[in-house]
Amino acid sequence: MAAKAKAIGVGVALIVTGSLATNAAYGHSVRQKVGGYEGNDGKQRRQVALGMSLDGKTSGVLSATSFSVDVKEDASDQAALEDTDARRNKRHVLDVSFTQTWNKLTETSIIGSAEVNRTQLVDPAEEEDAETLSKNRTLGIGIKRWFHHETFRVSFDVSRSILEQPYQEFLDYDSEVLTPPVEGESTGLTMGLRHLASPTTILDYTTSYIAQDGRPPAYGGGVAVRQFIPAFDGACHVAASRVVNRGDIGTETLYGQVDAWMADTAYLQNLWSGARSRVGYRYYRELEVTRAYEDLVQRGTDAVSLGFAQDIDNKDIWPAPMTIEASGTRILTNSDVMASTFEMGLTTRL
Amino acid sequence: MRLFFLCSAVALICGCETIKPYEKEYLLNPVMDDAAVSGLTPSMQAVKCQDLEKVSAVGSTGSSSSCPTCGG
Repeated sequence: MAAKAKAIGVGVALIVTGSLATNAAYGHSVRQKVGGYEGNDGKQRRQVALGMSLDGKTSGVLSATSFSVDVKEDASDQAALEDTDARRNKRHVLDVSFTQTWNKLTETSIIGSAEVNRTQLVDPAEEEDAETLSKNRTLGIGIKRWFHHETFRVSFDVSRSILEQPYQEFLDYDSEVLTPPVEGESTGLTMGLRHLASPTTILDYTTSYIAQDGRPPAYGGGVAVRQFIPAFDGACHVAASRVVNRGDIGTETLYGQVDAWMADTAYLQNLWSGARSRVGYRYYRELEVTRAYEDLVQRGTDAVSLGFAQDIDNKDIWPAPMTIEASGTRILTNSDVMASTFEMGLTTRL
Repeated sequence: MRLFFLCSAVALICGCETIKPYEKEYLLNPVMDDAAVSGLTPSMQAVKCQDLEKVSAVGSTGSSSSCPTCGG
C-alpha cells in the first residue's frame, strides 16, 4: 500500500514537472575549495569542500530550478593551553539546496544541512573522556518575490536546527554547574528587503529572530549598500548590523547576555577581462554581561581580507568555462589573538 | 525589528522610481552580483570568527544568508 502510494506520488511529480517544463535547458557545475587558518591561540584548521550544482531553465511556469550538494571535511588541532587540553576535531558537513524560480519573479527554496563533529582529547585523563560526538541538522525553507517592476524584492526564510551533544558539566566562577542541553533546538526567521534604488545602487535591509533552547531569543537587523562607480568600473559595499541577545540566563548556557555591533566595508574592482578583486575590512564589537557576577566583558575583532577571482573561457586552456578564486584574511582580536586564513577554489561549468 | 519596518517604509515611499530593464546593466555587473561577491569573500574568515565571537552568525546582512539558524 505504502509502495503504491509512493509510486503514484513520484508519477504525479514527474507529470507536473514535465507539464511545467517546456524547451528546457540544463547545465551543471562542479566546485572544489581548500582552505584553512592558523592562529597564535594554538588552533589550526584545514578544510576541503566539494560541491555540485544542476541548473535548469525552462520557458514554462517553472522558469528555473537549481539543485546543489556540498560536502565539507574539516580537521582542526588545538594545542594545550593553560585552561584547555590538547584536542583534535574532525567535522563532516553535508549541505543540500533545492531552489525553484516561478514566472521569473518568485523564488522558493528548501535547504538542508547535516553535520557530525568528533572531538578527541590528545591526552585524556580517562578512556571514556577520549572522544565526544555531536550532531547538528538543519532544515530551512524560504521565499523571495520581486515587486513593482522588479524594483523591490521581499524575502522570508525560516529554519530549524537540532543539536545533539554529549552531557557535559562546566564550573562557572560562582561554583554553579553549567550543563548545556543534550538536545538543543533553535528556530530562526529572517526577513529581507532588497531595493534597487538607482541604476547603480542596491540597498538591503534585513531583520532576524532566533529562539533557542537554554538562551533568551536573539534579535538582529542590518542595512547594506552596494554602490557601483562607473568611472572606476568598481563598487563600494558597506554593511552594518546589530544583534541583541539579552534576557534571563540560566545554567543551560556557557555564556551570558550578549549584544554586538558589526560593520563591513569592501571595495570591489573589475580588473582585466574576467578578473575581479576585493579588499575588505570587518569590525566586530561585543559586550557580554556574564551570568555569574554580571561582569562586563568587551570583545572586539578586526579582520582585513583580500580576494581575487578569474573567469577562464578559453578552450585552448580548459575545455569548459571555469572560475578560479583565492582569498585570505588577517584577524586580530582585543585579547591579542591573531589568525590568518587562506583558501582557494575552482568552479567548472559543464 | 521596528528599525527594519521603518527603513522598509522609507524605501517604499522613496522607491516609486522603477529601474528599467536596460538600466540594470551596472546592477548585473559581477562586482554587484551576489554569487560573484560571495566567491571573493573568504568563507574561512566566518569560520574563524564564529570561534572567537558569540553572535557573529546572527543578523548577517546580505542576500546570501538564507539559513537563520546556521548562519549560512
